[in-house]
Amino acid sequence: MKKVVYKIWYDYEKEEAWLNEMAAAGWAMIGMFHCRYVFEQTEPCLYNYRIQLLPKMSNHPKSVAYIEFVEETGTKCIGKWLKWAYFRRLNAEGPLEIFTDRASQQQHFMSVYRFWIGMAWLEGIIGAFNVLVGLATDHDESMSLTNVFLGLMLLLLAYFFWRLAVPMKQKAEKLQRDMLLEE
Amino acid sequence: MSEIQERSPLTEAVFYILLALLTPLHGYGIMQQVKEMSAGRVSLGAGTLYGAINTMLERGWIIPDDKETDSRKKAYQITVLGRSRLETEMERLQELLDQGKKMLEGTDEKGRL
Repeated sequence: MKKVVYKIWYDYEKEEAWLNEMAAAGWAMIGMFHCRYVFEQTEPCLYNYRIQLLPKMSNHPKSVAYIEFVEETGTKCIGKWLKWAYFRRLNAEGPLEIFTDRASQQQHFMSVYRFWIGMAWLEGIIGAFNVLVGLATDHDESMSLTNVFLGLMLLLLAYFFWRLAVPMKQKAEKLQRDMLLEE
Repeated sequence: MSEIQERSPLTEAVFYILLALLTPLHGYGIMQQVKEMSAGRVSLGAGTLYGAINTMLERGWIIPDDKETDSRKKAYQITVLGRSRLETEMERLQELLDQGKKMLEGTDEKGRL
């Protein structure tokens, strides 16, 4: 039996936790596209899920080679979206951890941080530009008002993305401090 | 730069991967071998392992094994350089062990001499 769930996720760790909660309840994710997740009913706690941000787009040859490597180790790539890869493994084969040392975990947090901060900058610059254009032009009041409004909305979006980025950097920095003592 | 590379400690994962690759192995084989050698203590994630393999290939410590029977799975093997790096590392670890034993011997449980 299958079911489809629509959900928008921004925090990949929360998304991972959600996929694992669903799997524990007997619903294993078998495919995803954008915010559309397809689940298949299985026995509870059958699968373990992990999400990774790849260095390149998921269809890039380097990403394909990496995913092939991961699958050789018995972990299946069950979904791909932009630069995100969704992996799963049977619980019976042990816990699924993609990164097992602080250095690679820190690298992953930093790559997610850069992804969100990049989005924040993009929206921030476009938003600021729109606001400035809106404030500068006064020959068409409704247009300039629209520009300012649009700009403010984009600045809000930029702030939202920045809020997603910051915890990633904090986690990376904490690992960095821990690495002064232990791997 | 290479001075630092030759003298700094290897991570535990890399040490064990190099040891495992004294015989040609592919990714999953390395994971299993390392787990066995460390009595289950050291587990390698696919992401961590992939990064380590690529860095070690760059350094010339390992090479792809061309005598693969299964052409889909890429196997790797340690090189002479990798082997010598292992030996350097074991000297370092021995020094640590010797120093540790020597210093702790003359102390009580609270760590005082």
